[in-house]
Amino acid sequence: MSSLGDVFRVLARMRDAGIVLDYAIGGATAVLFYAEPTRTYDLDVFAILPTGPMESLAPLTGVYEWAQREGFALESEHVIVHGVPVQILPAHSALVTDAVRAARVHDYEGVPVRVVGPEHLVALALQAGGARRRERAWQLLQSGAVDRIKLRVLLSAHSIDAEIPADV
Amino acid sequence: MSESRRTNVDALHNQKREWHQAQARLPLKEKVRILLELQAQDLPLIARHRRLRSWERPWPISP
Repeated sequence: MSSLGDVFRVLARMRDAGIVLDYAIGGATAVLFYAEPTRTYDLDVFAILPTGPMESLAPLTGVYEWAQREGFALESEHVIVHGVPVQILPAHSALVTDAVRAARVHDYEGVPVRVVGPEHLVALALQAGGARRRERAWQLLQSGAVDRIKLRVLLSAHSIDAEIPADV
Repeated sequence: MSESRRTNVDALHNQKREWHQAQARLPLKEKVRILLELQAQDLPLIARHRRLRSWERPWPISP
């Protein structure tokens, strides 16, 4: 049986092959690295593509073609990697691009994996809005993994209007 | 709210916060194991309320 480490290896291979310039895991899977487990059924991966998202009508064509050559099926907007639905999301904003560039490299069972940092995860969740994402931001804040000064600088730099209570 | 009731409520909140923080400190592999378990437990319940998307299924991997 494949492991999550095998899935992470595929992401590294995709970058090494130049299909994406850089990537970082985001969403609920990224939260796992810093806070308590939360339910998710797909793995979000932010990617900086060789062609900017605005320069092509189908920016993920290269990713999908590479995945199929590698033997991975496509289903809806997901690449199925060892049975795990992976959604590649082109870096569509300055905050996402910044999150990918500043990602932390974690070691998962001997496999290096790029993961969005906790401050960027909170900023992304607050920018996107919605109850589920707000809850995710609060979980991260409660975990103690977030540098609140760094977070405030990030929120201000990207004009995200959000109150961060001191007691969360 | 009486003083003793407030103390109890505060204690409950503290316990809850400590539980969440303990969960956050678990080894990563253990958190992935919990995630896989949550997927297996929750999907049948979700399926009772709505049609699952084609890709919504427990990940067939080990942590």
